[in-house]
Amino acid sequence: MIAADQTQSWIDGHSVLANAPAWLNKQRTDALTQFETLGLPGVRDEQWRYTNLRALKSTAYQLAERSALNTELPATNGTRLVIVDGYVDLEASSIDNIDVTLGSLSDMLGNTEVQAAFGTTLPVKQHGFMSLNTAYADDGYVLIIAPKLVLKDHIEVVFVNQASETVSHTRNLIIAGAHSQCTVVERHISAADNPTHLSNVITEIVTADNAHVDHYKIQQLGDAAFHIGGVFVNHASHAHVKSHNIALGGRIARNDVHCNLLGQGAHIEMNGLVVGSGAQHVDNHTQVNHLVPHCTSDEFYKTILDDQSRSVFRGRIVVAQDAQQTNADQQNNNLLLSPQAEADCKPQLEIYADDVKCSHGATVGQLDPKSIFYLKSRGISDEQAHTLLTFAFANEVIERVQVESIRTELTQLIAGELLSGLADLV
Amino acid sequence: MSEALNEKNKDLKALVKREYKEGFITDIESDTFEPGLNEDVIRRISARKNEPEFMLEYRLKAFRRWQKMPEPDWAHIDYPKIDFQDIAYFSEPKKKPKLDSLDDVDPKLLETYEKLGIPLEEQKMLANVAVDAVFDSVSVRTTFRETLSKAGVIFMPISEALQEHPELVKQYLGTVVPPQDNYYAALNAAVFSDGSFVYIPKGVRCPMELSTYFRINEMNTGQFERTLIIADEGAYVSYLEGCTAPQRDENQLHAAVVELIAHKDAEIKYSTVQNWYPGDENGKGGIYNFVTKRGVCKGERAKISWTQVETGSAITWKYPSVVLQGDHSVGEFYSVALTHNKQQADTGTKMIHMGKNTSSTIISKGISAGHGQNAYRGLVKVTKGADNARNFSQCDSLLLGDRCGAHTFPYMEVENPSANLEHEATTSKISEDQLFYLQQRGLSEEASVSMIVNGFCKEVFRELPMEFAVEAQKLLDVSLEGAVG
Repeated sequence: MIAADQTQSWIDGHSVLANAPAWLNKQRTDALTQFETLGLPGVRDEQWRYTNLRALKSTAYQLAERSALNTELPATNGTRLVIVDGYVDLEASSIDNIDVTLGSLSDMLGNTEVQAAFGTTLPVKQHGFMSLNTAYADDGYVLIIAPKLVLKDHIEVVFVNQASETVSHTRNLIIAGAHSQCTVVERHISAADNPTHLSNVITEIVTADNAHVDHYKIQQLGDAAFHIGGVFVNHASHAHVKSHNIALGGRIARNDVHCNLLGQGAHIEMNGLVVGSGAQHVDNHTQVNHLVPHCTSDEFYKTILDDQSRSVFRGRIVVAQDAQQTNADQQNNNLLLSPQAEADCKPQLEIYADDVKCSHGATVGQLDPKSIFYLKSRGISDEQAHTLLTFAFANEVIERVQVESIRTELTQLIAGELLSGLADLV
Repeated sequence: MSEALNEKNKDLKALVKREYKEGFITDIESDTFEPGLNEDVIRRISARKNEPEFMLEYRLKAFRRWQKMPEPDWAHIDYPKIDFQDIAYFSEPKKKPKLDSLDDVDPKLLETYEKLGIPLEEQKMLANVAVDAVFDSVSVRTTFRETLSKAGVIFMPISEALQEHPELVKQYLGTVVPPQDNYYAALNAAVFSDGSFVYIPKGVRCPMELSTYFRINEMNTGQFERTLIIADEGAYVSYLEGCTAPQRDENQLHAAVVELIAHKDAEIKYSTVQNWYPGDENGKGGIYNFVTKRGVCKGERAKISWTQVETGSAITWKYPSVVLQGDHSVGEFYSVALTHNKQQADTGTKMIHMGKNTSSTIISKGISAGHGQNAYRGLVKVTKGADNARNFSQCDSLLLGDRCGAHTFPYMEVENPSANLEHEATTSKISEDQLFYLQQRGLSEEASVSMIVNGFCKEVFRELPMEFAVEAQKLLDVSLEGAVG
């Protein structure tokens, strides 16, 4: 039993892995030592000042154990890997229909590519949960795309949180070979009985030259779930990565999306959408490190908040001294629908090179009364006008989704999530 | 034409090489406390100034709080640790002149002002400006006292105000920036030497621009100014502050506190041109400028406007803020911050929206050259009850050279859905196209850059009173010399 608010309790709960290679156990113990100094974050930490973890910390957790899927998932013809409480469930998965290396991390620890990539994308300045993830995670998915392989269909990975009052630490790895292309869709869902589950999930994406990776994270956890997530990307030369971060659920959900642009000509696109209601709290931290010249980054995060929900956005762009000819753009727009909702945003530019074009824009506000008036003057009711414009606000992010099936699905999801009145209109 | 330009270029080249013009030491015998800080020192400062009992209590309380506070380290600046025991906390020119005319002023002092280009007489005549010249903590002379007192305006050193209007000082001092506010504010509250006190009574429009020239002169002396400006209902005042300091090797600490209080329908306009010694090319010497400036719009329709041009100091740590308490109140912040050589600036503002229908504007222009590091750090907060708050923020940075840095750290905290906040920031270098255009019209590269930079800052400069705007433009040119090419 781990009392979440006690650092020592996490340290005591740790054990080395019996069958793991030495390199992994070393990383795990190092991470635990790091956690000892970091401890769990609190509101006094600048990067957590708007996120109160009291609700998360007041629970005592068991470490999640390997168990079989007890939730029914919609049928699929495509490739799907299922992860239950942090452990890959091959029984429930259908991955034989595709010719790539896709499987469970614990089965692939002997793989030299895994060893070379593991832990390389993590930020230097970590928070406690990141260290805990490295220290504890013993499973997750590994996807290795061979050079020049182009996958037309997307790969779906479903994370199911099942056992209540448990904590799962999951580490995933995507290794994209040179000139390869792939699309990965991560879904995070809770079992039907809405368990109080803390999931701590990190996905590392390591690219080779000219690799293209589209990464989707669609988080639809139940309102009792806590989620700490991380997507960390290393870009080689001319690698293109798109990260889509759609947060619709969870009681407290924190996401760190970081990328290191390490090769010239690399490009990152970060899209984010938060739809909050009830007592939800969503905290998105993004960071783009422009470390070499001629890289571009494009960030687009939107938030819609209803009821007492809260959102936090921090977007940091760092341009290193030699990263000339950088082009970086960041947009963050927040829409408040209720008097109790709160949005905090913190865009940051840190620039040490001179030949750059960087900009950021942030807005917090409500729907434009002129637009509402326009719609009403065309005979659309006040309620429908609001619905339509709110949807249009979210749709700007959805439009950036390339895969048509996901775009359609998201459109319906968002429509269902907050816009009951929309059904008659579309 | 081209000859004239060549001539101009020569001038510019000379300027590049020029020493810091304001860097000289006036040799006046001073009465200075030995370095060190303890309760005794504070009692002595208070006794020397013949302060009322409540003031001593205030200072001691602040000092006790300060001792328990940690030194802040969150700003994007880097400097060796300050030894607060190595600083003398009180210094004043020994011959304290109580004079009616300029002739009675110590000629050496007058010479100092001359070198600084502050002709007291001329300013009095031409600019209609009353000058309260602070020379190392103690005010030397005040002009135009009479004109002002006819209008009912109180404008005097705060130490005198403590003698003549203790009830007013007691009522307002520390209400905007309480001693426990932050580390440097607490230090200032404990040891502040002097500063200006302004009170504009109800419905009075101050008949002239008020101005104070601060000057740090004494070796190893920290300067702890305290300014308190109160505009009663319907009053208006424009206050100018300009600073220069002599060249020194040792770093000097400046921790000032400025408090503004605007009652119902009142307006305060506070402008600063700061040109303290920035240190040499290698970052040696220079002033540490840790300032707390804050204003409160207490009543309805009150307005506070900060304008600053920051070109000096080795380190600038300064966030002039406005608390928008009254309904329909307005806050403004216009800033130009320039860092060159090894200068570092972490500056910005806070706009706290509390009343209904409040609005604020933030225009910040940062220019980095050489190895300069320039950060904008700002907060716009809309509290629950602040219906229909409106904010517009714009932070632009210009980079000159590939070894400088420009950073923006804006914070937005919104707890009310009717708020409307916009923030935009851009960072870029001067475009080749603009430079080419100006150069093919016959301007030199330096003149072109100067013109572009001045254009970049125009939005802020036009907020300054005219004579300050001219000075600010000159300052910018001079501060940027050697940054181009």
